[in-house]
Amino acid sequence: MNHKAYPRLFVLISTLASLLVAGCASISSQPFTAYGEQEKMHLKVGVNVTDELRLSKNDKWNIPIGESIATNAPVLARHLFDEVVDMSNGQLPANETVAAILTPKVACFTRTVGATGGGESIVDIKVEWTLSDSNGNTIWVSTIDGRSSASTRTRPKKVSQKALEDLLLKSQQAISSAPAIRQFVQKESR
Amino acid sequence: MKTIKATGARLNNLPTKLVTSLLPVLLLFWGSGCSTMKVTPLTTGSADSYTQHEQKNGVVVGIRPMTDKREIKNMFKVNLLNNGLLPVLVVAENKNPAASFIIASDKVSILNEANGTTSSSQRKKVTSGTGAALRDTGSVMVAAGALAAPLLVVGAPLLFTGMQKASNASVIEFNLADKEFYTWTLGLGEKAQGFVYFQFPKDSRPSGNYRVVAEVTNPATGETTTFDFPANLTLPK
Repeated sequence: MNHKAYPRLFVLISTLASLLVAGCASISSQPFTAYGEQEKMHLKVGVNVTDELRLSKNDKWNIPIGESIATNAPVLARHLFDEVVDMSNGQLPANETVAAILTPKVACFTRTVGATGGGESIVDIKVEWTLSDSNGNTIWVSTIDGRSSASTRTRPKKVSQKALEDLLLKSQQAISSAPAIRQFVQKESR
Repeated sequence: MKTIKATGARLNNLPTKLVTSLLPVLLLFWGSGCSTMKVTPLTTGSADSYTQHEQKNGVVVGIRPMTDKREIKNMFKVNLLNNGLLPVLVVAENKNPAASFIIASDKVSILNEANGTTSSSQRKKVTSGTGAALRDTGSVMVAAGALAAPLLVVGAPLLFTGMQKASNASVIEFNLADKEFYTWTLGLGEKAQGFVYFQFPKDSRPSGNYRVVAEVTNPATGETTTFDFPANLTLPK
């Protein structure tokens, strides 16, 4: 073994160590669809995707979480309600009316990193969902939490995707079981 | 008598030298991995178990300003008081069988009776001042450590200490965000909990009488109920 290999070995070690704490970051552009089957609520709902939502991201890892929520919100709404209209920045398409408007907003998107690649990393996404009536009165609003953890050397994309799926499943559960929404649906169907 | 070493002997020692020099580095590596700071879970009692609680229209709201340094450090891994921040725990519970209630994070505020100013939760300002500073220090050390890594003795401790600091900073920021009080609609039997972070000037700790005010709205009727708690926020020196 050549002694000149020593410095090369150390450079290799330092490079590997740096790679352990770094990672490329992005998240699936395909919407999540594996929701549990359930009876849809009889309500015509507009899903309001705002520019504020689309621009939500974590500057540190450049994961465009807002875009992912914007892609997934209409799909989730179609699993929950029997009629869904896509809205942008509070604007309905021409000649459309809805009984309620569902607006998602990223309340928090944060991640821990382990001291080394083997340390635990937790990704947490909190989204505030607001359902308001056509006059803008809030019917229901809650902050749903999606979380996933893995070793820090796991790709942030993978952990964030799992946290996003956790968030969407919990959101489905929270919206479908909320007494305030159920009461509103009953009132509207009378 | 002159000892003559065969050239092969130096080569045979190479694995031993390699193991001896790498062992401390590996120990540091695994040691810091095991010591990744843990995220403390927030466990709370029922809203009416807190000394300061009120029940109105079937909704119970309890509050507890956290003024003990040790308790704050156990919960948040950093003494928030030194960073001009006082955490106030808020627990809300709906015991009304017929109605849901909205408790919004921006409707929980702290009123200074002396000057009449109101402040809401200020977590974002604080993260940029505490965890971020630690993270920046960590990043610089990681970078310096990576550059100095060929000089193993200097580079490795810098690298690992930097990684440790950056990791700690991320846990502190996560803890603050995770434990904040967020907006909820409470159905029957549901409970919301979290901290509102009251920011005060670092050089002038709060003393005297404050009020913690929470507004709860019934979305079906639009009726708002106000919960108002007197709070003496005099902090220990």
